[in-house]
Amino acid sequence: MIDGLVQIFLWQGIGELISRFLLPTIPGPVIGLILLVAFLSIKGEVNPSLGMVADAFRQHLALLFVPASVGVILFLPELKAHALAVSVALIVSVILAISITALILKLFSIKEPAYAHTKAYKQEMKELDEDRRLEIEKRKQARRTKAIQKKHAKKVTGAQSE
Amino acid sequence: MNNRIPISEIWVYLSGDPLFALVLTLATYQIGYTLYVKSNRNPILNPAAISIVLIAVMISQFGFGDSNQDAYQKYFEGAQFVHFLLGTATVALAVPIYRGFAQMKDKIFPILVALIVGSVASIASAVLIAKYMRADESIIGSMYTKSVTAPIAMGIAERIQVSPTLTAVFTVITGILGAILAPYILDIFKIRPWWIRGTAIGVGAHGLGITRAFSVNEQAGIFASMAMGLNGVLSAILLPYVYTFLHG
Repeated sequence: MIDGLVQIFLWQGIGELISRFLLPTIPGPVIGLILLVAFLSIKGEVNPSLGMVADAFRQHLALLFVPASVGVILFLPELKAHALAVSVALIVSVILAISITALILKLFSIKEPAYAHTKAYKQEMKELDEDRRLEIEKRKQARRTKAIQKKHAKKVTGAQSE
Repeated sequence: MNNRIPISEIWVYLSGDPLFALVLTLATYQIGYTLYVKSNRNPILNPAAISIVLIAVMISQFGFGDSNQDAYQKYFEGAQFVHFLLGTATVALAVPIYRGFAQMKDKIFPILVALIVGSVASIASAVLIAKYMRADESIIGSMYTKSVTAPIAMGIAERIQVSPTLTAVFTVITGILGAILAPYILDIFKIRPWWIRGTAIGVGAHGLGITRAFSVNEQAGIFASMAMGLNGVLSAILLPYVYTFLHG
């Protein structure tokens, strides 16, 4: 677990340095994040220690901004005076953010052609499904035979060692 | 036995120690988290919100300092160790983003478009409504940053000089609202694929939405974490320009 944490601290440090001297508009940790994503993509895997630390942080992310949020006691008069504006703004923007994001993705994900309702198209799709099913079945069969062969091989080596 | 310290002085001694603020933060969060789990993860019982309210009541009502300003300063001196980890947590978001990338493949372009349009709509609507309803300048400022996950939002807030505190509070409220409303909104629009549901929740409901998404469906959770992180990165890069364009 410690080496995952060290790795994250290192990338944060590099990010802070770059932010300080090269890219002052982007917060250091965000630069660290981008670099770590790049590093992971090159490496091709997340080591378990790093994964564990990242999951722990993600799960209790909210704990970390408690100290800053308690500062709300300094803003109580302003918030009370504008309570309605704040609640309307927050509720509307949440609804818009979720629905617009979802609807755009839905639009993109429907790629059915204009002739989708015709019989020929449906038949084509059915055949494709059938092909895919057969393909999966074939792969399963291959895996099964492999497993059996392995077992067999083990038995043979086991018998030899005895 | 007459040299006993009066109880009020023990309080003064304790409240000056960083340990006290740390214990207060973690213990109240643990109370909140226990309630949240016991209630079958009802988003109204947000652990962070419970913790914030408990601490705020305690330090402002029980003579933690001479004024709220003083009390908060004393509390923050101890709690800054927790606060510091925000940056580290931001870097750790790289892992869910990377895991999401591995599953996205051909979906990267639609996701980027949806993220950008969705979060611009979120920022613009919040800022315009707050402006139209004549909210305070500090409130309007924090509406720019509140659509981003809190650790990144606070980094941005410091840079464009809006209040990190209000940013954090608005983000927590946004997370609660998003986690409550998201299932209904997505059902109204009949959105069924898990990856779309996850991505929308990541943009709209932040961390709290993600934990819920994970409990419903693994793929939704991965896409939600990825969307939240990616949204944060894009906002960190673009928001300063949007802010100066609209505000300055």
